[in-house]
Amino acid sequence: MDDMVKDISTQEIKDTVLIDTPQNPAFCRQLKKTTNARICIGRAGSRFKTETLLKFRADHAIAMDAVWSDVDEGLIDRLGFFKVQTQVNNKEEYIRRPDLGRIFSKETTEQIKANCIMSPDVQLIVADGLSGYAIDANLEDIFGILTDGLTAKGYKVGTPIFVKYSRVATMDKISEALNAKVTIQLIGERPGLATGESMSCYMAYESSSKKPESQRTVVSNIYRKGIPPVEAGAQIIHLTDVLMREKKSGTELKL
Amino acid sequence: MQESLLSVGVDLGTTTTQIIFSRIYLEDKAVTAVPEVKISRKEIIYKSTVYFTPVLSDNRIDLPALKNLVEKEYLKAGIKKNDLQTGAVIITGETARKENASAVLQSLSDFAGDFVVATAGPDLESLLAGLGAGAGEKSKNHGEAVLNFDIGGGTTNAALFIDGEASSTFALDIGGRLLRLQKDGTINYVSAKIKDLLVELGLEDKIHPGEKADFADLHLLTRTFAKILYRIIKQLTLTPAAKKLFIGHECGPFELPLAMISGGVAEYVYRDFTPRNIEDVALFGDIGPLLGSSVRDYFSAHGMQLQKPKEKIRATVIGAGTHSLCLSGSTISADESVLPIKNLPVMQLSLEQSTADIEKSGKILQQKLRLFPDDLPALALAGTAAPSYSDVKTLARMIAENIPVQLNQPLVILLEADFAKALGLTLKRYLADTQIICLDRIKAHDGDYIDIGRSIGSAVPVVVKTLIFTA
Repeated sequence: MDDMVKDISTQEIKDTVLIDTPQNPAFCRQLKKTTNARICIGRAGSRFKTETLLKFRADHAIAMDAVWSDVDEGLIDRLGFFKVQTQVNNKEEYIRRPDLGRIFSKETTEQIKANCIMSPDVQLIVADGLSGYAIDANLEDIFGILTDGLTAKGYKVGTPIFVKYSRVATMDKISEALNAKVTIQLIGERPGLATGESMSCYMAYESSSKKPESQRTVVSNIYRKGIPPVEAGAQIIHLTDVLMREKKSGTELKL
Repeated sequence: MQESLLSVGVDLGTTTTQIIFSRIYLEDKAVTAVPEVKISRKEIIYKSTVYFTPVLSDNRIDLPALKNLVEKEYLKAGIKKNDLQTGAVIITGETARKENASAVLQSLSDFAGDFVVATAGPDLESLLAGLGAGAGEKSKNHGEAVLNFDIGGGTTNAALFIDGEASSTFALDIGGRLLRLQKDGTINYVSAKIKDLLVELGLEDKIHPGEKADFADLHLLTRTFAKILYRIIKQLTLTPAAKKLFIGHECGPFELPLAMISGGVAEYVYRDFTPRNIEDVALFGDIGPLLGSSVRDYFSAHGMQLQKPKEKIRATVIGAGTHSLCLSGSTISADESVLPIKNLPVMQLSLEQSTADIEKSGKILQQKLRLFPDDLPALALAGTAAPSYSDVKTLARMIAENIPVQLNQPLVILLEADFAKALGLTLKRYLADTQIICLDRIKAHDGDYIDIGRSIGSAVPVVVKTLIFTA
């Protein structure tokens, strides 16, 4: 292994103090815990050290990779999702044309209607969004607790749907096609430096393209270092109860 | 959401009794649909006079006088018992070792309010005093370890803080009132706790009740106390008699921290007053002022600077009133009908990461539960990372299979990692008829006891305490 180059992206910037001779290294580490900013990194003359610069570029690359990554469809198949695609044809188009990422062709809408349970209490949708990695990292845990929990509560749970090249608004189209009460969409978040694994959940009661964006209730930052996927799942089940009871969602709802 | 809790702190010490009222403000800082209730601010709204602790002639605590005093202070502060949501009555120093201490504590905590906890034990006292003195905060803000000595009448309680957290606590029989004397120097009382030390110093014939004390002898004694504290902080060796002053256990090794002093004696550490004769010493009928000036002189003569505490004589009562409470995480699972819960013993179970280990821990759980034949203790699961869903299920099944449901008691689970709502939900499927309280972001250990209050927003207040009269 000695002749291998170390993978700089796996190293936690938070644990490394790069100042040459820190007076109080313990305090530097303590300070670093309080912020995500890259502090206590030292310098070479007036510039970054090589290691800092490389780490920065590696972290940026994680964000870039996440955007261009595809969701592992093996996982999607194993969990029994019905798979569809928006009007987008490839990743380049997905990035350039957000509008196409919100709509389906007529045929796709018909397919959804023909293959999925109609009028469910709860419709679950997974969308790749801006990070396929986020779905790969979190889906299995959150899907398990969601389906078990919602079923145990006696809800009519719809056929889970996976949407490729999807923006958030596809949930409105699916809800309208299937006449769902509560729609839950799990979507890969726009990646940040070194965080490509964060997933969001958008929920709405009678989700509809005629309603404003404020119809949606949001749980974000779902990943191992944010709100853990199992705990997010339990909170989403709780929120489903609230949405079903109040028959509304988003800003109309006083939580 | 912005809510507040009214909290009381009562410190029943060897020498003095004090009461404070404070308001603890809570705020939901959620930006999404996941609540995040945090303590946003603490404000001390009333400080009582510092009273002498009422003691009967047979050395028991005078409960009626004490109740009277507490009642008077509640009236003066304009606070009714029913207004209080939380707080702590702490019995400290030598007072905790009096014959009727346990009864007094219980009666006083009921008298003080419904959800006011009774606490004692030198380690908890050390922790609360250090937090009240500001040693915890200082260690967090300055990046250096801080050791606080709270020197009271009967005991000195030490707590070492690193990055805001207490890393160790210990206590010693060193205090201002271990020797009491009259204005003319006649000694009234010498605590048996310092007998060996007096022998070691060759003072056993000169310092005992009835004898007139010599200034130089008292000074030798207080200088020796100061020297012991200095040598502890410097991790230097102690004489056999000095070692015997530790209560319960000695202190572990640590790196040289900053030193801070609180407690009644600290009033004379941080003041420019040096007793020159017996009359100066006997200001309060004890050796407190002389001990304070000895500590100041000894530390400065040896080049060790003392950090200024935020509170001196009031450190413990402020610690009890404002630092005894913590909040659970905000995504939890709590059957409100069984709250509040008081004085529940804690049983710790280390949470292994792999499924096989979780199954193995079922056996350990059953064995440990035999120590609690009549009560179902709170299960505290350590471990900082939330497990996968399949491990949550394994864990829930393991717990459901091994707890004695026939006791028909609520099941209380305390997690360190953030997955209480997930575990609570999953447990409910296995234990449909059991009332479940599953909380996270709580650290508790074997031997601790907990109190859990009614929910505030989506969190619940929790007091983790080391119990009452273990020493």
